[in-house]
Amino acid sequence: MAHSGGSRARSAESDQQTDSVPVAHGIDAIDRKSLEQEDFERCTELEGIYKTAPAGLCFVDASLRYVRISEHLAQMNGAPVEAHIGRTLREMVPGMAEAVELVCRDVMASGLPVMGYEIHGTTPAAPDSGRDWLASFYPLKAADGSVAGVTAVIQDITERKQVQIQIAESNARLTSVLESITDGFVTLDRDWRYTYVNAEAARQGRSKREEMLGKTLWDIFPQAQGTIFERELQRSIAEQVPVAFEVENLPQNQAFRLRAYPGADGLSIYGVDISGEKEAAVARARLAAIVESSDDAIISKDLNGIVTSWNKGAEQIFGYEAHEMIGQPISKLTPPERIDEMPTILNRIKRGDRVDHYETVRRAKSGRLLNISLTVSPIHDNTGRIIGASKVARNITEQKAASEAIKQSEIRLNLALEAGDMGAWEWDIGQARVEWSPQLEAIHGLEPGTFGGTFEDFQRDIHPEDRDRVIGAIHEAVEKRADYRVEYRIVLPDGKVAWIEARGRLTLNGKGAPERMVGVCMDITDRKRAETEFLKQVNRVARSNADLREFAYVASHDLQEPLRNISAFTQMLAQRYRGKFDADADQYIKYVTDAAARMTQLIRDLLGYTRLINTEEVPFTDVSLGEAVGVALRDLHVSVQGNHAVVDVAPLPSVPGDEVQLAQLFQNLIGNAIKYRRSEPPHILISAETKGSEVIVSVRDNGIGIDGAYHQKIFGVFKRLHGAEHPGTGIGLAICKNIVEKHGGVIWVESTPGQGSTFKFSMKTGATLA
Amino acid sequence: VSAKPARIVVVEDNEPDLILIREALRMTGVQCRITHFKDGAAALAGLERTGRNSEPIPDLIFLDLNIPKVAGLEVLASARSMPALEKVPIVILTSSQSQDDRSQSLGLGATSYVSKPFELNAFLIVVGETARNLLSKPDQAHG
Repeated sequence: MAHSGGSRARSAESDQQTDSVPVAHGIDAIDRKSLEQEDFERCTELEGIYKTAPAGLCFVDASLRYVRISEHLAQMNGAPVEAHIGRTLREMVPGMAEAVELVCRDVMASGLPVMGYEIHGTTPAAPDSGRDWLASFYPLKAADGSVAGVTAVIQDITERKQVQIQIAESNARLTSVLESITDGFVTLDRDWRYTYVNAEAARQGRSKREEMLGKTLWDIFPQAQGTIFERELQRSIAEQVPVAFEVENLPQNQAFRLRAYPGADGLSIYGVDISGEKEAAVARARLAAIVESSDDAIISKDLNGIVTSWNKGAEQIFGYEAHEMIGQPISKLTPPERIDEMPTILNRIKRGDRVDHYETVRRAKSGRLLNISLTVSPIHDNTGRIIGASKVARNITEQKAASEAIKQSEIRLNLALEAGDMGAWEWDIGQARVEWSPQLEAIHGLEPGTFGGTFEDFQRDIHPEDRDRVIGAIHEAVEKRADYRVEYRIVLPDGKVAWIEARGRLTLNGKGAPERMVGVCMDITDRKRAETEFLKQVNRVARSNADLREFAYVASHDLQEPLRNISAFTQMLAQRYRGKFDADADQYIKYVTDAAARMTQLIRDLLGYTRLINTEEVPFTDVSLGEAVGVALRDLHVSVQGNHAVVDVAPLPSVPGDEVQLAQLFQNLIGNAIKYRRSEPPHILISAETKGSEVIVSVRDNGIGIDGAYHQKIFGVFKRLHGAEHPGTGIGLAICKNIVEKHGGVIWVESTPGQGSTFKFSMKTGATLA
Repeated sequence: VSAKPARIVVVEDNEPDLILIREALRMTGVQCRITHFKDGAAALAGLERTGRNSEPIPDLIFLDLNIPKVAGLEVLASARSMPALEKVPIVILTSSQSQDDRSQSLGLGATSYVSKPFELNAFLIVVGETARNLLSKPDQAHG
């Protein structure tokens, strides 16, 4: 029996004024005017209501006996109207009596009505099923104000109640269904707020359900705003149609397939997490892409050897396109002499075995035979049955060719090592192992394979005087991460000494630390011998050159004294004894004085030249070539004036050089230009042209010119082209050449006989070579 | 120039040059008596004696550098260390044109340095004039 005290209290307070008064008034009227016509009519009316109203009405007196009962209520109770009159509630409806009696006594005691009171119980009309009544009770007051009885209005709400329970149960069932499903389900109100979130939806939202409730969809999935997610949901609401769509690329790679159903209150959304599905699709696509992009041929075939798939790699290697091969027997690729391989391979596959890196030969569409490495694996269906084979074929034709090429290059390397008296070595720094090629063992006078292989073994052969230097060079190379190059002597087993040039290159490991050094050793004994010989030769030449210069200087110096005496005393003879002998004697004395004068000039020039080439080089300074010309012209002014020569000097640059020598250079060249004149007065032009880091100086004259045959010879010592008509010793141009060469330049002449000569020389310009 | 002939020492191994020096002095009109030494050792021995045993002190010395036995520069240095020769003009007369010889000579106290001129007339004039100038100024030495 259930009844609610809460309901009763609420009804008693709120409905008292409005509902109880008219009814009470009605009852009072019947009671007061019962004997009058009006009363009678009223009673008839009441009878009518009681008889016909589709509601349960009754009036019980103070002892809770039925005074009146409506037809409807009598039926509800399960007894005729007459059977109720005068009987108590307990007698008529014992399954309800307890709750009803309680309320009635309450109402009589308080004089206040009780409204909307729910009673659960049984009735004789339906003794096996509980009934639910919704009842209101009104006190009927007597003229003295006492309560004479209670009128009740009763409604059977059993069926309605049942529906409510069913709805609740159905809701509960639905909820438990929604909770147990592996898909997400949420309901949203019109403001996008979650009103229901199932467990999966909470998981999908990466939130706690209680946190999601009350928040909006956009609080939980902010990144979905502005995407298809929002657009589709908006469309569903706007058009009031269900929508279905997928959203991807949510954070944490989430993807959902969603269905939204619009309702009056908002949206219901059904979401399936397809992240895994997407990942699988991506993985499948990736795998397909790998297969497609692989350089290897990836082929599948059924157990009959019929090709079922054929990737791009296969197209490239074998030359057949996929449509040419799918459905064709794989044996199409097998050269006739290899055809018996096929059953063997297929049988192994049927047994579930795998064939790994099987090297064989296959024929491409072009007919070309290819070296192929095959890996064949069985393909199983869902039940584990073998339904075919996947085959990865790698074209190793080039690899084979490459390994052949490596072999060839090793042969060539060995030939080169032998031809160059070279041996190769490798020093594993970490393992402290040294490996020598047979050639290196041969260089060290060892039988092949007898080198010990340790660093100490390597050191042992090094000449004791060179050992520290070699070890130092190795350490330096390792420390500085530099190449190693050193020359040293080794002592051969027979005691002979050989010279070795070693070169090595360091290789570093991934961390940048020295790992190994690889290199070659050359037997340079012969070269060393030749070098030593060459150096000796160079020294000899240098010494003999120095001796020659010294000799030339000393000779010309020591020749001077007797010559000076010859010259002096023939002059004395000529001056004091002229005419005292005969005419012939005077002529002879003249010959001697002329010869002495000429020899004096020669020796003086030679002395100047040897002094020039013996001069220790003075540091060059910046010399103005214009000033050098000026100095030369001052010394030549007698000659210039005497010959009526015109010397034009264009602007000249400065060069690093020796001022005295450069002045002498110009003096010799200008002097020659005047000396080798034609009848017309000499005209000399000195100019310069700068080319890059060089200046080329020209001294042009209008003299007799020089035959091409002599253009080289004139720069030699004592080379003269002319006789007594042009006095000179022929050493001037040799001096010029020496001076120009000392300044890093060259000198030459451009000339045509009869049309003048142009002497040109080059000099380095630029900074002083201090 | 006094009537008393000047005493001139010539250290010279080359006989023709000795003749040329005599000729130069004669041409210039220098009255002199020449004492000749033909090597360095003889010169040193002779110069040692000067100022003693009534051996007269020379008025001028011509000294060649390139001479046998004892080199001219050594003779010069020794002569300058002798108190008697301290102030005697010493003219280096040599065929050497070396700057080193010149500066060394002057450093060791030579009064003058003359490279023997190649031309006869030049020789006679230079040597003669040098002698006359130095003899007319007796205190020239170490000027």
